Amino acid sequence: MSTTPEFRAPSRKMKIWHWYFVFAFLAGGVYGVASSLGYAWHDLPAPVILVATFAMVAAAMTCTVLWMRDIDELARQAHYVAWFWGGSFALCILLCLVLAAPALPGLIDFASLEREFAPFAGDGGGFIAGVTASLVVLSIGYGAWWLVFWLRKR
Amino acid sequence: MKNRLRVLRAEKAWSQADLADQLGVSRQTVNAIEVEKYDPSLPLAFKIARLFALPIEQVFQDEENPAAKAAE
Repeated sequence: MSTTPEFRAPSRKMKIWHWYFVFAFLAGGVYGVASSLGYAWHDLPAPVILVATFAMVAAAMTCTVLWMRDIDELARQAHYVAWFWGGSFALCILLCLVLAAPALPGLIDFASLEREFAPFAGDGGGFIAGVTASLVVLSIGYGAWWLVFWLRKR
Repeated sequence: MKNRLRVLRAEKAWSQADLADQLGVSRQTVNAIEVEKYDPSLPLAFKIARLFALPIEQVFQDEENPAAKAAE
């Protein structure tokens, strides 16, 4: 077995990482510049929002599929377990909050959350805030479970 | 599940990275199998056995199996 380091061409996984970061920085930069110039996402014409949204989601899903095919079985297992258990626990916590909300009036400032999201959906601001909260909490649960799984197994 | 991967690898004087390369998995996966924190899938278990030219039961031992326990 050779013990000297060899040059290896970047794997498809690494290429996906590189392009992901390049695109994320570009998108963040464009968003920041546009915001500073007074443009807002929700002010864009509806067709632009729809096309851009579907294009971004399709690109993200394509990268995800390629990524999952490239990683090895332990890494894939980490994602499956994290998605199921981390996501389930996170959603259970959300469910508790939803059910207990009437008994905890001061716990969450629902009115300011609705105001925050009102520009995106008008009267549906509360609904969009709820969906966004679910996504955020789910992502936190998933990420935390993945990290613990990975650190324990590696 | 118990396994003899670390011993078998040492006999060949391979590093974890060497073995990982040959199996097409990451070094972390090889380490997790060696320290018995992760049981590999059947295809990977067979691949490991094939690489060492051994029957799979000489690489992995089923702890639930009384015959395997008695043989230890």
